[in-house]
Amino acid sequence: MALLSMRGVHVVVDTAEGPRTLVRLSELELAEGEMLGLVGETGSGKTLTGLAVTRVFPTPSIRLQGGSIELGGRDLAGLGERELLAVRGREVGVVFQDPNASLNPVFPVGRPLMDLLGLHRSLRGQAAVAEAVRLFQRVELPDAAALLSRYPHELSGGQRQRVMIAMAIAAGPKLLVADEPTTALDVTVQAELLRLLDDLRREAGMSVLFITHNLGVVAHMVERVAIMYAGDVVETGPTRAVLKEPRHPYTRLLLEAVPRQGQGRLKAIAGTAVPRSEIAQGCAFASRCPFAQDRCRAIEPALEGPGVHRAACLRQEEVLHV
Amino acid sequence: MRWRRLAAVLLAGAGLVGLSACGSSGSTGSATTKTAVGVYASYTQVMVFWDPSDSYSNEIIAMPQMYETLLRYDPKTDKFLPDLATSYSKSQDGLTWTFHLRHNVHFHDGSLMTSQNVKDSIERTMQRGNGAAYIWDAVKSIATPSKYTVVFNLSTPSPIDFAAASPYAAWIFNTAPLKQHGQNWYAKGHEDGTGPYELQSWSSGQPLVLKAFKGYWGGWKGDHYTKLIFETVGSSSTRAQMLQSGQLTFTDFLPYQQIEALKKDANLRVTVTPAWQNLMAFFNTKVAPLNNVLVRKALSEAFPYQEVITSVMHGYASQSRGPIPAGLWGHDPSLPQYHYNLAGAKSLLQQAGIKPGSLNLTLTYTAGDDNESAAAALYKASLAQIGVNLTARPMPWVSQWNLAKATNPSQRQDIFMMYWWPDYANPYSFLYNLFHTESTVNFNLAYYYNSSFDKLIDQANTDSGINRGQAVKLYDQAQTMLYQDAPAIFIFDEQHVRVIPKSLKGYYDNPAYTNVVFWYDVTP
Amino acid sequence: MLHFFVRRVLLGVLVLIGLSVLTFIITRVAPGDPAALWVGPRASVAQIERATVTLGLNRPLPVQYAIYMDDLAHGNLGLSIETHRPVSSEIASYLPASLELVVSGIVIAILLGLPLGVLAAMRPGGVFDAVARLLAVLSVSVPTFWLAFLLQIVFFKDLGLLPLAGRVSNLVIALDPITRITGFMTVDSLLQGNWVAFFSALRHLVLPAVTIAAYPFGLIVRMVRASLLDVIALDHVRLLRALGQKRYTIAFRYALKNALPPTLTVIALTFAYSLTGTFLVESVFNWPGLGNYTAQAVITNNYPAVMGVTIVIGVIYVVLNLVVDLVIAGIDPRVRYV
Ligand SMILES: Nc1ncnc2c1ncn2[C@@H]1O[C@H](COP(=O)(O)OP(=O)(O)OP(=O)(O)O)[C@@H](O)[C@H]1O
Ligand code: SF4
Ligand SMILES: [Mg+2]
Repeated sequence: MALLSMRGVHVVVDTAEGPRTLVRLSELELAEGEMLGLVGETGSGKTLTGLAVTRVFPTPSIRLQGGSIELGGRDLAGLGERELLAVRGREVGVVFQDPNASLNPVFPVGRPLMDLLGLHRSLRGQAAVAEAVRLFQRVELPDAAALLSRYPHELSGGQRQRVMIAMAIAAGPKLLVADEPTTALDVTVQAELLRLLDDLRREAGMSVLFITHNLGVVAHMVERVAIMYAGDVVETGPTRAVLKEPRHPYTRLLLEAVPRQGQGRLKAIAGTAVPRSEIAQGCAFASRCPFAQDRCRAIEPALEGPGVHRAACLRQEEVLHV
Repeated sequence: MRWRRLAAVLLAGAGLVGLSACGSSGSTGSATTKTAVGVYASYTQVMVFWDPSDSYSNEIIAMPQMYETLLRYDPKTDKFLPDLATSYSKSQDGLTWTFHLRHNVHFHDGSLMTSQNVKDSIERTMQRGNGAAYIWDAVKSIATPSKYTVVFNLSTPSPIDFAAASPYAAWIFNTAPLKQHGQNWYAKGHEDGTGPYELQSWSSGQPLVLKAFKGYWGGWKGDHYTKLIFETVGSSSTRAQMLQSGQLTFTDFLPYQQIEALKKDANLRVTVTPAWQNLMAFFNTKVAPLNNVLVRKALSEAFPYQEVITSVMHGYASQSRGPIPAGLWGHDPSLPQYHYNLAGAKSLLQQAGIKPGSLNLTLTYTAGDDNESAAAALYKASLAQIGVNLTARPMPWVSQWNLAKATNPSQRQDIFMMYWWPDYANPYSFLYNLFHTESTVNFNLAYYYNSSFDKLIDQANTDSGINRGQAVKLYDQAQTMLYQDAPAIFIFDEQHVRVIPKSLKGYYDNPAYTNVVFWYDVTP
Repeated sequence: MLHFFVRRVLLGVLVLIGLSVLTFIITRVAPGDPAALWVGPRASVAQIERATVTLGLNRPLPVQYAIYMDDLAHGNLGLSIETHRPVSSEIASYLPASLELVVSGIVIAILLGLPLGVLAAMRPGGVFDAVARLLAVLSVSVPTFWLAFLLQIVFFKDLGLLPLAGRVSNLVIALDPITRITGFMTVDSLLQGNWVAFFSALRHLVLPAVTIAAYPFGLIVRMVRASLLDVIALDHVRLLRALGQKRYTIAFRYALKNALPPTLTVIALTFAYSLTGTFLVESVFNWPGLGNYTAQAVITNNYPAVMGVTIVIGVIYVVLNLVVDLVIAGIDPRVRYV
């Protein structure tokens, strides 16, 4: 049964010329206890998709325009700000991309964690300290008790990321949205963090939406992936299948561009990503697609395919067999 | 304890309100138990100088409460009233003056006031030579033949009774504390006089608070203010509002516009008294064409006296008759004076050979003085009608004065406008300072050097100590001489306009003590 | 931290030395003969000459400078030309009145401006924001004397609620005098348990303090709002939001602390500025403070007094900045290593 089910999620930014579409998601599902890799180039809308769940966007000008976001059978899209407060942190935990900017430099790292424990779990004083220490230990931070009163700049990037994970799981959420938690870190640390996330998932039966633009990272840890392009999922399926037999030209190009040893950022794909808002009709990828035909520019492909491996390409059979 | 103080506050509050609102003091029973607070708001700093020897500024309003002089002068009757001296006499030649002191007068520290204190006070003041100390210049020595007798021996005859009644440099104080605490003790904000009020509290910028001195020789029977507050209230509209709301008993200065508004208040009344202060404009008689008496007469006739009095002074002034102001002995309303006469002025200029449009003059006045500024502007407009171009220049006093003292007379101003007032009740102050020959320029800013004039006024001054009638005659002659030589325009003699609560009884505006309220003498 | 502190102190001392040199030069270069001013408008030539010697103005300039610096080092600011009393003691008498006024004003400005700025930033474009922005613009642009008169008319004339002017009522001065301890009348009367005087002093303080508060209030609202808007967009604030932390907790407990340093700097600046800039307020409310003293000194060409005030304000400014630097260092641990 799906824990998270996003359909027709539409994220726009308000501009002087009116709302501009940034994300228009056909569908995205996440089962209980599952780790889903959300992969795509920079600007493809991964972060906004993840943020749409808690509806905390980078600026007030970005907002959720429509669609449904069902979490455990309840549609979050219909909730007001006050009801969402009870969802944030408690049902959905979030880890941001940049560990350097995501901790307040003028507070000891234990402070926001303990405040969250007080808020969500009514733990105060010694109880909060004890639980904070436990959480720090759980995310494998060394010398946890002493670390509580340290300031962010006294911690390494990996340690800061672990602090953030501790905060995200503090209230025991069912879903963890981890937005490129490893990108800013070096390889060994990345691997350790990934393993930690996987451990937490298994232990707590927590679902994880793992956002990355590194297919290589996803390959080993994640059972299922969704590939994003221009604000929508273009291919989804079991990791193995998608990597071995990509049905979408974009995925193919991505795979060819995967750096050796799964390291570094994606190699460039010919052309530049076209913003979702500039696509009037037809396939969003048409301008860069080596398979593109006239009909691609007329008909918008839907996510389809045999069984669980599906792609949004009119010529997916041809792509598969090239 | 707390409640008793609160009750006192309420009681005094009622007293204060009664002071301005009810118009009747309503005091019943023993007056000594009642607290009455007198509040005096001055437009400027009250205690500039504390040392009674040096005092020469606005503290004049507070000093007479703490200190006393040998005599007090009453211009209305032209008589001296006893103060610390109960009587005095002078020798035929006017060189020896004997003062008999009041007995059993005590300083605020409790010590008895004797002739030695009088001698010490005056001698210290003379020796320091600050402020108005020069008023004792004629004194050769002071003797104390007995505990209550003081004798002044003079080098030249001089009206020493006027000096003894001066609000500057004539206070009798106790020199004993100076021996203990040093000569600066008074200057730091202490007092030890014999006056009816003693210091309660003061510090720079904070109000001066005085309280009744229990051991005052006059005693405290009857109605008296028992506490006095002297505060500085810079804004005249605030002073006016405080006066109306009964928070003030007295203020020293209000602009004429405020006075007109306050006149309507049923709880207030207005008093008008001649002030011993006049406005004058001195010609630079050392340069052409102002060295020509015809030109000076013409310029004197071109001055719009009445217009200045009505529109600038709102009528609170009278046209001068020579330099001795109305109200001061020696003033003679029958003396000749120039009148506004443009036709006459024109023909005088013609006689002097001055063509219309050819005469350019500069007048300096003290920056910030609105009355001087307005008077200068009216004069300028009037002169323009007879083809004389006047430039009126406001200058800070020190600069204005320094320019007047420039070594080369042609660099100085053509016309110098300023007020004069006497340090004590003596016409000689006007005639000597303003027109007596000077070796270096000081206040004779017309640069008028006339030895027969000098002789006249010096003789008059000598005589004034012996024969007042004779002195006045000589001063008349001297002033007539000034009318003929026209070294200056004598513009107006100012009047003091006071707005006071109707309930303030016994107030007498004595121009010999400018702005002073003798608080012991008035009743709430 | 110690290194940081020592550097700031040395910098402050340097600023003050520069200021003192400047004041010396200005006193000597400025027009007007101090000796003539000293003896007053009616002085004789002989009196002026004596004053020249008394004041040491006849000595060579380097000697005068040495004496001046030596005096300064001993806290001696010279003698007032107007009253011949030590400038230092006069300033000591006037300063607490201004400090009481400015401190109350700034406290009011902070107490009102800080929360309003935060509330405004929490919902840009919202009701609070509109109100805050309007108030901020009004309070910064309204002429001080106009506001002072307005307050007097409303609260004294019309409502009769508060006194017109002064620091304390004359009845208190006469009957329940406040003994000077700190020079802050509200504090001193409290210390003495003199309630009558305390309430009188407090009532007198309200209107001038509110007038003083207007300008810093506007500045604080704008500074807090602007810096908070910057902070609110930062990842660490968004993360807390995404994790369900309450808006008020985020704004007041977290983001405000980030937004505080620039606001504190502005407050310190307005404080020093207000101390001399209070002249108008002090004059309207007849408040015997440093602004009144300075104005009087300027009018009377009282150079030692003007320079004394300059030095004292300089010291306050330097000390205040040091304090602010230390507070900022306390707030932001990263600064301590700079
Ligand atoms: N504040 C904003 N205003 C306008 N457009 C924005 C804003 N933030 C993001 N976008 C646009 O929305 C689209 C999706 O952004 P998003 O951050 O979700 O991409 P992403 O896939 O997370 O990229 P990256 O890998 O760089 O993090 C991009 O085209 C981006 O330019
Ligand atoms: S639909 Fe056409 S354009 Fe789009 S990806 Fe498939 S082949 Fe390319
Ligand atoms: Mg992103």
